[in-house]
Amino acid sequence: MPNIKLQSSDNEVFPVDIEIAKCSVTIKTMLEDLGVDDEEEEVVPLPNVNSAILKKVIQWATYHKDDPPLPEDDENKEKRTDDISSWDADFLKVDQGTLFELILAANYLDIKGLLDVTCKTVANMIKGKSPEEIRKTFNIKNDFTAAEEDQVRKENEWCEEK
Amino acid sequence: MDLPFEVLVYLFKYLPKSDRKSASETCRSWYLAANDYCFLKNKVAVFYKSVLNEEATSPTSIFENSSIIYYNYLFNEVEISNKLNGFWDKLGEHIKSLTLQNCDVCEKVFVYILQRCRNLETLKIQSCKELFMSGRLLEGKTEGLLVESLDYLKSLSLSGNQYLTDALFNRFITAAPSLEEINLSGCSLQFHLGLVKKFYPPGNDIFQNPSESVLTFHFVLQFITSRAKNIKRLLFSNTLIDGAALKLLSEVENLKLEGLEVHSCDQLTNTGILALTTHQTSLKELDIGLCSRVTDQSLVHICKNLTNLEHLNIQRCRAVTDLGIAELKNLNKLKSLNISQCELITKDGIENGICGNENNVLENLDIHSLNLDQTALITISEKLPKLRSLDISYCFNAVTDTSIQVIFKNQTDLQSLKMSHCDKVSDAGLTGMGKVKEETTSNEGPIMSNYDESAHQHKIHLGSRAEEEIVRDARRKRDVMLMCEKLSMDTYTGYSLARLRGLQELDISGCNRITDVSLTYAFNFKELISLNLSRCQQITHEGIEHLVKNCPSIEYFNLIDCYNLKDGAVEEIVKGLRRLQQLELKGCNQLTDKTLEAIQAHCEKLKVLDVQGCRNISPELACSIGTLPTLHTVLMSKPGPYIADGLKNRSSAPTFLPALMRKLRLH
Repeated sequence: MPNIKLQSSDNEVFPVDIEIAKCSVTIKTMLEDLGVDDEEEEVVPLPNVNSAILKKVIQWATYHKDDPPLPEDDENKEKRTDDISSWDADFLKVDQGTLFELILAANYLDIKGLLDVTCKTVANMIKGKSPEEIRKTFNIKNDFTAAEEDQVRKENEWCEEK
Repeated sequence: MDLPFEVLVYLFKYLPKSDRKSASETCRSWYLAANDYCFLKNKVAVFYKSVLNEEATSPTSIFENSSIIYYNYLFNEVEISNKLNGFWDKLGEHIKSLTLQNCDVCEKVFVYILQRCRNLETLKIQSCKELFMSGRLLEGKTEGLLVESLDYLKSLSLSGNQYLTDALFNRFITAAPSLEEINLSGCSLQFHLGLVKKFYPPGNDIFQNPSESVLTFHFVLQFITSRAKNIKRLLFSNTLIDGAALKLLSEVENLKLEGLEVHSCDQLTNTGILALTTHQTSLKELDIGLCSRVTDQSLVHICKNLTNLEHLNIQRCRAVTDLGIAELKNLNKLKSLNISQCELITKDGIENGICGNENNVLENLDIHSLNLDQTALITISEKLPKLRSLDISYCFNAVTDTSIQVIFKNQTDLQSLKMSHCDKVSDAGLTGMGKVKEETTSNEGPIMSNYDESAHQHKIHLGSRAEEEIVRDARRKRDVMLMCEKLSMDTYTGYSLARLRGLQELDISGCNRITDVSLTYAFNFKELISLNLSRCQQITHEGIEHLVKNCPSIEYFNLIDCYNLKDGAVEEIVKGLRRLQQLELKGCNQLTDKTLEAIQAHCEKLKVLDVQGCRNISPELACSIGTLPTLHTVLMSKPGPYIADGLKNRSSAPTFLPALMRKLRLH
């Protein structure tokens, strides 16, 4: 199996099976654009991902390498969040900082499967909570002025969503 | 940790709308992401019975002051005067959809509105009868101002306006050259050819001189013919459209309808439907519900020719039998089907029709009030695994503890489940923790109902039947309760309602065997928005306490006739359910003023409150509750003599403030 080397922001290098690395659309496009020869062992720099996160991402991608391609999203359907596999649920038992960094990495590397499952996990943490509880859960700073907060609440009170 | 805007938007797509609302109230970046166009396009600002004239407090000013621009507005039972002109000046050009229902609006103001809302895509003017009464709307000078001014209008609804005439209709359609959808439901549309002769002598161009006195199908048809290539959807529900008229419509050259709604059209006959199925084969949506003359012949042709159908409604087409229903197997693109109240349908029709093969396409099924048995429902459950909404209300014989268990096993995608008045279902069925009875003959599921009349047939009744029923109920409740306490979630063998984790709407009204046990052990729904427990008379404070904790998102809660509930339970509800918008407590006659005090203290979002027949609640207080800002309707009983009897020292009849009178409805 040909490998490529992924270099994290803190300069750690991870050798990865090229097929696994290609689950990231970003890396796949990069390799195609550069016309990298499979024979050579290229180093791909990933300045937006640190080694701890990259390690997790590789672990996830390795486990999911044989997954069938994801179906197209149907914009009209509300998306489910209760279909997280038990492996993924265990994999995502991490602190919140790591979880959000995984979302960012999945977004940057364009790995839809990982982005979906991390977003689902966060969505599940939001469901049923009041705004104050959500702020507390994610340590969000309330940057509204009192008047703005009142305005936003009123807009929501008078709005319905189809 | 800050997530970039596009990631937040992506994340918010996984949230139900009410959670997205909460998220938007946390901070600026989340607010903006939650109002990205993909969400905003579906949001409607709704002004329901509001007082809009005082500028400082008018809810319309909220949207004028917003930092984002909302596209869709709905006004219901509102007086729209020229005091709102500033609103249209500021936001009019951004408005894409405008709905006026039962509104008081004069012609001059209406013209002003239309002139400012030039980018409208959808306009609905429903049951605003004063607007059309004089027949002079958009006439003369103002008509000129409107010519082609609704360039982008695709959908026009003038439903429920009895004074609409050909002339009025003509003025709207000339202003809107790109119409695709027209709704004339509930208008007094005339089909009689005699009228056509009277108002349109042959040889004249009817568009030059449309009738000022009647709305004729003849005129509407000429219009449709002239725009045949554009028109995609038509709605003529609650009209006298007959077979001949539908035939003429179906045969219009170049017309390729995608949707037709002719609900509650008693005159509609098979002739019309046959022509429709011959000429309009591109139909995706067809609603002929409550058209009593439609028979199997029509249904057979629908199923044979309209193979593109995705939505079909034949509710209460009473003549339809298994013969027609069996043909439904040909419609393999069908996503939603309503065959409710077709009394002649039996198990055979279901098994040969929609359940002939496993069907992964059908998502919504309404079969309420069908005479089906338990095995039919089990077949439905097994053959239709992708159902998202299911209405099995009043299927008394089909819905049992056994069949409901099969549904909980298979239909885990369900978002809406209605099983109103299925009174064979008990806690055992809902929790999956019943006792397996030895004498039960069915082997379908592990859990059987204890309800077994045959065992008692030969006994001589000493007490009344009702009394015995109560004793049995109590015993059953105790048994299930014991089991629930003993077993942990991993070891029990049945299937709990709680498996339907994405449930948003649940109706178990009138299932009066359901007790606190179910509320405690089977109700855990983070996304549940609408819950109907009316006439579940055994539920008490205890069950409510658990329910409130485990279902925090409830917005609509119906507890009509749950007369064991006391003030404490309501307090629990209003404290725990922070998103509550509608609370129905009619007939909960143990409730007192404490209930209202709790509501006043905790309900920030309540819109509708029903306390009719709660005779210990004083009208003064119910009146003062009208000051809650979002509350628009309070339903209560007229203060009767029983109030004077029950409570002395009561002050004299309340002096209603006029603003509150708007909200208060006395029954």
